Amino acid sequence: MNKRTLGQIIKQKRLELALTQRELAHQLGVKASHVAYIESGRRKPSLTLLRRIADALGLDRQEMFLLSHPEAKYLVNQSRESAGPNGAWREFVASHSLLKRYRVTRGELKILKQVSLLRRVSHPRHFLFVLNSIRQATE
Amino acid sequence: MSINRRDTLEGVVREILGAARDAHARAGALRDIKNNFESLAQRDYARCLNTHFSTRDLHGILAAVGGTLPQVNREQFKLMPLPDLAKAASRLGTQFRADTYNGPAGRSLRGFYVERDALRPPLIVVNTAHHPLAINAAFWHEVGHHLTARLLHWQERSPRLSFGGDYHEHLNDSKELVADILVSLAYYPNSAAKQMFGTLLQGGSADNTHKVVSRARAHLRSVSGFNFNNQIPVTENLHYLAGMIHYAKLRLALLAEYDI
Repeated sequence: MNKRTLGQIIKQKRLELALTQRELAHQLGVKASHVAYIESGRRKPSLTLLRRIADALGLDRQEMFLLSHPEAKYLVNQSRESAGPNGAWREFVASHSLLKRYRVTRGELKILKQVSLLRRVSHPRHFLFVLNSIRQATE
Repeated sequence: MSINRRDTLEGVVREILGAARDAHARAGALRDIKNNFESLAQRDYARCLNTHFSTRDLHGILAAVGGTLPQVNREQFKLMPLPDLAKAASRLGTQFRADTYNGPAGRSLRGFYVERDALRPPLIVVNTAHHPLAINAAFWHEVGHHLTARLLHWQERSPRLSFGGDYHEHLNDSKELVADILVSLAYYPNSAAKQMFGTLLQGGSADNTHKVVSRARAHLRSVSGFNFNNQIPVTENLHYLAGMIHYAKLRLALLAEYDI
């Protein structure tokens, strides 16, 4: 199966949102011809513009970045190992001393794992805050 | 035509940064203008709402919420101290906790809502390491999750955490969007929204984010006393500005597109 290109994804999403190239260009602060060039793959957007396109169309920034810069995949995959969307969760569950000190039970870990599915949790301490609040509420 | 800096969002950010002595903090925050504020300002909120809800959907949601909170969109919600928030939470059938979670990472978390078998009734937690206006906004946001779970049967199988800088993501998530709509209607009820934005809509300048935000800012100052000041850390003020842009644009889109 052929992988879709950045331009194809942008075009498809734009059409789903019933936006013309001119309307999207207006939102992005560029000329409509620039959008047309990007959609046809004749130009590669700058990182700033890429971010704006992602935000305007509700697309995943990282996915857009990797489509635009496939050579960065290796670096991104490496950094995901240490941080990434679930980095805070991995750091939290890997810290056995922390789990022991706070006597985190399996049931609690199960609840917190659901929190970890929300990619926005960026810091392991968030899990402790949630845990403490829930514990005190159930006391 | 040149644009007067005072008439732009950058002008507001520069005003906030006036309190920042650290040049690096100032430069970093100015980069944030490009990264966050402008992209938020450029989002088409009406289109985002249209993506998730029809007019019928939104009016239905509002009617359902109004059955429990009849004052929504009719009365100006006043800032409530924590004991009053606890009473309001209890009336709505939830437990309430106000915990302080400080530090840069901690302050990014505004609150959360969790509904588990072990927690009967469900729990709303707000982070008190914030200005009372932000605490109250976090509270009504979590109440929004509670009401949609109860009234619309939108099950919340996992805890919903609310962060201060997630407004872009909220626009792509119907549950978060409804929770934000409740906050927006609480602070800008219909009569206030018409007064604030009516002339902008008639004059065709409703897409001028600075004008929208400056009206929202004046409104919040008059009803809650909130203003950006040097008692609040600069980065926090910038987060509050992002929230002000978000809720004001959301309110304007509800008025302009759905007559709410």
